[in-house]
Amino acid sequence: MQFCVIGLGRFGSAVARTLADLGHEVLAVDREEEPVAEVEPYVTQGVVLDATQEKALQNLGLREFDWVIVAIGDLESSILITVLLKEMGVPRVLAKALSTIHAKILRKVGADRVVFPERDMGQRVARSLASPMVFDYLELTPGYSIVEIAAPREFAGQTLKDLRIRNRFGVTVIAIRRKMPELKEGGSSLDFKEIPIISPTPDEEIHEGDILVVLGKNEDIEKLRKIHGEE
Amino acid sequence: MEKNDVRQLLEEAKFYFLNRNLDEAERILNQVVEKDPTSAEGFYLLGLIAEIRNRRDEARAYFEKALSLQPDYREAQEHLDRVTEIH
Repeated sequence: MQFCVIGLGRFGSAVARTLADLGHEVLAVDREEEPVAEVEPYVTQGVVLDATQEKALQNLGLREFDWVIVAIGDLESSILITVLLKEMGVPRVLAKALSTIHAKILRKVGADRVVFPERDMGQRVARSLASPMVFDYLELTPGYSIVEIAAPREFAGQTLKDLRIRNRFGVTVIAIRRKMPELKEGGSSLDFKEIPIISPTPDEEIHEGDILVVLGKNEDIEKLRKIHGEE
Repeated sequence: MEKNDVRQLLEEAKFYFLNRNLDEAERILNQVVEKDPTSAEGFYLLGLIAEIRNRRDEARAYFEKALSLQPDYREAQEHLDRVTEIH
């Protein structure tokens, strides 16, 4: 796919580089030379240009791109650029918002998707600090989630059947992330690698340190979390 | 003599580690670092065991210790970066 990222701060440059790493064509744009020079070696093309200037923006031929990402922190510029892009007929625009009101305006002027990187990261950090044994969290629909949670130590050595996880907690283990000790390069150094066990059978035995990927109602997941003594 | 002892113990600990007997590996590694408090590898392996058990704070302390003994310990640095980051 073809992407254009406008604004190469920390967020924009991470988006641009990751898309390029994933094998996509990426045009990276900023009005300053330095950020463009920094990202250029990793992306398809870098351009120094003030995207708030309609003429300059038009010359980029962005209608052909799958997504244009407006990764600019400045409220006025990000709104203006989003308006210009949609007027030009760019099919899909994703814009970064700094506040709920900013997001509201971006949607009104035609942004197809709005992200709040700082709010999202803030929520992640808060969850991670409050629940160190929960490694990831995805809300499926209000009330139901998928979480990655460390298997309590007392689970080790027992099978899913023995543990009766579904009866006791009401949640389903959909996968297990297991850390397997291994010898690295040349056999000189020890390490471990993670292997996923997808849809484990009832006979699967839990190992110490396993991370359980469980699906269930939030209040049921909460019961499992409490075994760790997390409040 | 003492050095050979430590080497022998380290090999034993690795054997248990690779066979997923973490309790036994840990017990022996504690002897290793007691007999030779400069064993960066001993602390690194204790760090790995703590990381496998999802004890990040403990793992971090061990990896930092290994790096203080051997600042160019690449594996210890990689694991330290990993346990201190929030994903």
